[in-house]
Amino acid sequence: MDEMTLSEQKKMSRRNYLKYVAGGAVVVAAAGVGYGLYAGSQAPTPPITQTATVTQGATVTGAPTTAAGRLVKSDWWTGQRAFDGDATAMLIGEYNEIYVGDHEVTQGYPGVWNDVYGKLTAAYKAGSGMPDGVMMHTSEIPIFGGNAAAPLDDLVKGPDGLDPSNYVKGAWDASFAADGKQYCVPWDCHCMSMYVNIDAHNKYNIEVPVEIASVDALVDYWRSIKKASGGKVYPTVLDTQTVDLWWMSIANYAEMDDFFTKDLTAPNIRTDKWNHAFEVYETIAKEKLAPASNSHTDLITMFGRGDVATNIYGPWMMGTWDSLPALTYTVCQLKWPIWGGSHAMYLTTAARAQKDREAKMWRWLKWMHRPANNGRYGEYSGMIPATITGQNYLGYKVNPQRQIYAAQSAYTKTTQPTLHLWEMMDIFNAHLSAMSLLSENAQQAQDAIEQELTKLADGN
Amino acid sequence: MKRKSRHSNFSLVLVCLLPFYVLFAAFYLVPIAYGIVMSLYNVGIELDVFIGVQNFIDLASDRLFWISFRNTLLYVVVMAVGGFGPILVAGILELHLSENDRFRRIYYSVTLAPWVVSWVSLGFAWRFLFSSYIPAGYEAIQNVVPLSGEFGNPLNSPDLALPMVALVWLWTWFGFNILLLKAGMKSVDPALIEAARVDGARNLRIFFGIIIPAMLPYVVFMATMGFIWTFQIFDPIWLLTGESGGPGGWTTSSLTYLMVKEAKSYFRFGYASAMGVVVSLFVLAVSLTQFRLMYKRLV
Repeated sequence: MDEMTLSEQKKMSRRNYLKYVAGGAVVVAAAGVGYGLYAGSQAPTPPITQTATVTQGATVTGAPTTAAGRLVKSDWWTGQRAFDGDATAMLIGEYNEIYVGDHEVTQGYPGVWNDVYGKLTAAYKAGSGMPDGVMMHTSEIPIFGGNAAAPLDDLVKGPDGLDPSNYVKGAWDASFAADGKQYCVPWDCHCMSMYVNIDAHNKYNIEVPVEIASVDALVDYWRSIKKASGGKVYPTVLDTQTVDLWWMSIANYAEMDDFFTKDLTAPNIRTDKWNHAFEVYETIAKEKLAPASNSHTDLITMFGRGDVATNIYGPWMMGTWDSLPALTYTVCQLKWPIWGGSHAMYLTTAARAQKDREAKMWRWLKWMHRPANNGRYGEYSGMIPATITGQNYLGYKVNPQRQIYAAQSAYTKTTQPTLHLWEMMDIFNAHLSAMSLLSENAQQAQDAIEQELTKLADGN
Repeated sequence: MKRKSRHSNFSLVLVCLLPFYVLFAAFYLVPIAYGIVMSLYNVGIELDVFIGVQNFIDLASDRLFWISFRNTLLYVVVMAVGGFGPILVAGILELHLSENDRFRRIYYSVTLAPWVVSWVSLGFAWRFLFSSYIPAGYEAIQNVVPLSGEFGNPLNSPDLALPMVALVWLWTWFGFNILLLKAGMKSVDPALIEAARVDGARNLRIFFGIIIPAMLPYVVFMATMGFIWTFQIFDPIWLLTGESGGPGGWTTSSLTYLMVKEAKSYFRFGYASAMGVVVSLFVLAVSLTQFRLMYKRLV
């Protein structure tokens, strides 16, 4: 009998076997897709209107500091993975110890920033797995404001709210969407400023600047470095490998702000201010005021070694500079409106849909923004605290470089961006990179950028 | 009795295969089907709007799509041409070195190492090596790639960045291909080689007359997989030339790279899915043609 069976098995042709296999796979796939579609149609997407109803009526005033009741566990997502993420995690640990048994916040790292956005989108669309809060940048408001991220106006303006005058103005202003609603609270202010390699200056008897008042003065200063060092030191670097928005700050900021905020109906980069900005980029490239490199790694290395004299970058680099024992550096203020981003704390619609969860998350957010906590975050990570009281926290205040940066934050301008900010930045960066390599001149770059922006606008 | 037994055996086979089917469907078929559906939509975080084939029409006039398509083909060409390297090396090793030769064992281990290590680690290692971060490595690169000229780091040169990324990618696959071909060598009957030698055939004749024909199925597999994998090249581009698509703008971006940009940076999931569909169809068509042409010759 067994022999017969085996023989029968052998008679199953390969064709039939493949048919069964394919049939099985298709049935399982169809079942999966069907279930996905069914689940999608049933998914309880966090109701924004309902949230509004709840929060309008809710009194979160005096959210209990020793609330009796159930333990609320909150997921908090961030893309901060270095000194800044460690500092936040440390503070969260302290908070959890204080509110043990009442509220426990867990910091999760879904990945790099794009992973955070992607997973938040997926969770929102699936209607499950949303965290209670997310650290993002203010530039993500157009993406998540009103869907995954809940408006916070009632909480901020409520009796247990926040004082806007205690925040860096540029960062605070950037926490509002174009519709006037506030979707996040700035946590830091990573405005750009100029790092100066002191040794490279001393070697060629170049005076170390404390502040520079204009773009033209900055270019003149760079020229003086090149002249004094006989071309042995590059005056600065231009990093287009990462999305480095400071380049844009060479244009008049008011104009640029308007440009990136407005709908892209007729992108115009032919104004006097923009033309001037492009002349500056061309000057930097033609006069070789920066190396023909846009590799982030190279540029950091070159500054660390003293092959370049200055590096305009954000405060997050301080941790790295501090770790290079041979490097002596200071920070030179750039006293015109210069781009600066901001990490900001968002509460999700999932958190705001439940009263106690919302209250405890708001209590946590406020606790994090206390002077000692926001200040210690800046002290440890190098980031500039978004609160003025945080900047005045002793541990932060005693560090001179951090203080210069804190002063720079007064010049910070952060846009209320369009949804297409990053795509626009990539368009700019590609052509600015081509300019820095002298494969395009200012005219060609402007033509190309305008053409591509127009195409982007047409597609919207 | 016979029928019952046959039926129960078939059921058992199906039950045993079910875990595979479920996982295969969950992680391959469903995402593929979902991707195809998404390509017909303008996918927003709140609202998905059906737009038919508009995403595909937009692709046709997308400059970046065509730049990335051209770049991807260049990566494939480097991989295809470079793929002859492992064939030659594997052949030479087989003909000249004994199975237990120490050099041979070390060589296999060393060349296979990049295949085993995560691309993130490799990417950073190469990035630092290319940059001036490690002076010795930098100088060595400067000597090997003198054309880098004023850029110093060849990854900063719009002309050299893509070839450099492609070569590093090829290097990663070198060991795997050698291993594959080594396995292929086992299918060559030593008696044939011996007989050929007795008949006076030289190494070159043996290589092209015996070894290559015997290894053809393996070469086809290597070429097809190399094509598929290279068409999906992403990690080395991102890790070596950053987030802005290479020096001078989009000089190293591949289709997969652009797809990730569209989905994760610009939040155009539908458009990225359409790109994915086009890439898949292209890869499918080329792979089938490859198999058909090569296996036809084998039969």
